[in-house]
Amino acid sequence: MNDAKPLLEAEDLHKHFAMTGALGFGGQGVVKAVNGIDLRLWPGETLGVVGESGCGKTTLARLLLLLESPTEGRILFQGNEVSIDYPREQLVDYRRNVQVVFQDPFSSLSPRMRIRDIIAEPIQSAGEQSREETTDRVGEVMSQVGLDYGAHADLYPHEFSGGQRQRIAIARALAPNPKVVILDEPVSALDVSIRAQVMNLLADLQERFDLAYLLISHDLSGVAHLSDRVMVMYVGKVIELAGAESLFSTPAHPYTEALLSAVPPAHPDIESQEIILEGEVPSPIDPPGGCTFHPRCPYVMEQCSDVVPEHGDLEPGHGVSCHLYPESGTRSWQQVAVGSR
Amino acid sequence: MTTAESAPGAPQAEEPRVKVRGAATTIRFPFVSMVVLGLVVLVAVFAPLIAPHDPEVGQLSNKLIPPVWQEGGTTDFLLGTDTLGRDIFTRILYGARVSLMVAILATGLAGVLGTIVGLVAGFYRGWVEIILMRITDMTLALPLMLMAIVLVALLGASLTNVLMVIVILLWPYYARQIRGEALAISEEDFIDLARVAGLSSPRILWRHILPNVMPTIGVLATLQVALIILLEASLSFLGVGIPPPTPAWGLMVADGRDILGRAWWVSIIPGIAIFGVVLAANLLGDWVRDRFDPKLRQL
Repeated sequence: MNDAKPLLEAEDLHKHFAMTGALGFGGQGVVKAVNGIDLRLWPGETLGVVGESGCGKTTLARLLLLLESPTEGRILFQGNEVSIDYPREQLVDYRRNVQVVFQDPFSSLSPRMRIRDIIAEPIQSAGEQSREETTDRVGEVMSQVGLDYGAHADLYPHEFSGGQRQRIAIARALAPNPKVVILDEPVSALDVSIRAQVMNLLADLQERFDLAYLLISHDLSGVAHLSDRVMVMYVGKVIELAGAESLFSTPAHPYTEALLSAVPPAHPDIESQEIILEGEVPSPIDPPGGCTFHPRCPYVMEQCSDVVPEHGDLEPGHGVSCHLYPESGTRSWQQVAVGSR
Repeated sequence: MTTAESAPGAPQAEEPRVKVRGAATTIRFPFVSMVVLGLVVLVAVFAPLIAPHDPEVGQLSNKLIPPVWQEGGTTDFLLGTDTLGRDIFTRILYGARVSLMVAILATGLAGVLGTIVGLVAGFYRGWVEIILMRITDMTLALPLMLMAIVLVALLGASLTNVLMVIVILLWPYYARQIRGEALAISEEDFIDLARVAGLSSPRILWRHILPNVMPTIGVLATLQVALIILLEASLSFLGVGIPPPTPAWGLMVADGRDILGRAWWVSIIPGIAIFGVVLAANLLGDWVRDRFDPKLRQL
């Protein structure tokens, strides 16, 4: 995990969508879906990304997959800049190494293609491989995700259940031997009974092939289970980034604290106090000034509505953007936090 | 922070789903239509073998002989003869060839043109879409019968002109429908995944979008066959279609319109042929639509 070079980096990534009214008139407002995000993904680690719907998680994934072009900022893979504007030939390496599993296994498999062709697609487009090699590779990844080549390769997607479809999607992502797999809510659309299976499969595959995962989810317990580090997003920004253990045991940002308190305890006898936030997630068209969280924050202070908090380290590896911790970088934050609550 | 939900569960086998036939199978198969159309195809293919006379040349001495069941009819001319003494039965057989050829060629050409325009507009969006769809709308606004007449006046009546007019008239329907479908399919995750896999846009169109609009193309094509046969007949009737003496059904109807009182069979018999084939094609088209793509019902 502590290799010298991060695999995937994003620097000050912004994505703003222009809003246009009917007939192109009344066009006003810009949706700042992603509003200044830095991230580093190290080889073999899992970086969890959590946040409510609409906070920009999926836009972040689409930017990293080069499906959208960022308004600002850049993306680097193993130190080299990549961009959606590059010619396709220059991105072959990136495309092979950065794969994705989407949320909805019903939309992610073309209904008119056989399973073998769906899985082979990312290998074939990179060229270089003979037909036999491709077939061998398809068989290999199918068995790695628990599917049987002989029985399943010639079927069409509609002949499978949601869980199996997600396995097919995972096999496809694995096929070109990637280093990074972006998992955008990989189990949210599945039945609760098979979520754990798929999560375990993902954990196994990561260990076997030394994959780096960017795990996007609103399911905190799943993220906690699989992630090494966790990034908490709120209205297009990272408000807290920490090692999973540190974040879940000592959340610093009031929003993180509220999110965590909403997770049901593992046992009904465990007393838990849920912090109910007032109000709605603000619209990314017109986010509140200062700290975007201040209208809902239980510890709101005067400066919160005017000054945007800097992202600073409370301790190495635990960063937060909040005025409660003016002296980020010192250990005194815990006293500050406790005292002010 | 580990909760029950993320605890490792025993992996259980998931069986592939059993194929279930939809309710659409219960819609009655249009058996009579298939028989009629099958007959027309056979007749068109084997016309030279079945036909008792020459379709284009008759003897004036044989003119206006009534059908066999009417007084004065002979078994030599089953359905009677026209003003030039040509056997109507023979001309009906050969006329099926013309109708069928026009139907197949026009459906194919309009389908290919409309599909390409619709796919490109729906997939690439932006200016390409705006320009292509405006051209489509403009085509729909053309006064086509008028143009057909002008075209014939300029170039003379020919099969090519008939085809051109019909294709121009019909491709916009494909373009509009296919554009809508292509737009919807472009939003699916598997299109994004194809990009992530490194496929170029033309390949995505070919491999992912086209196969998914094929059912729609098929349904539209079957529905339009009837319309094309009718259009060709109308153009021929107006004298701006297939030039005489080629035996086209529309032309035959036109031949007899002045003598309808004296020799009804000259017009009515080819009229019945047009009616029967169009009705059969329409019924088959409806069935294909309901069976494969019920959401096209408004067409």
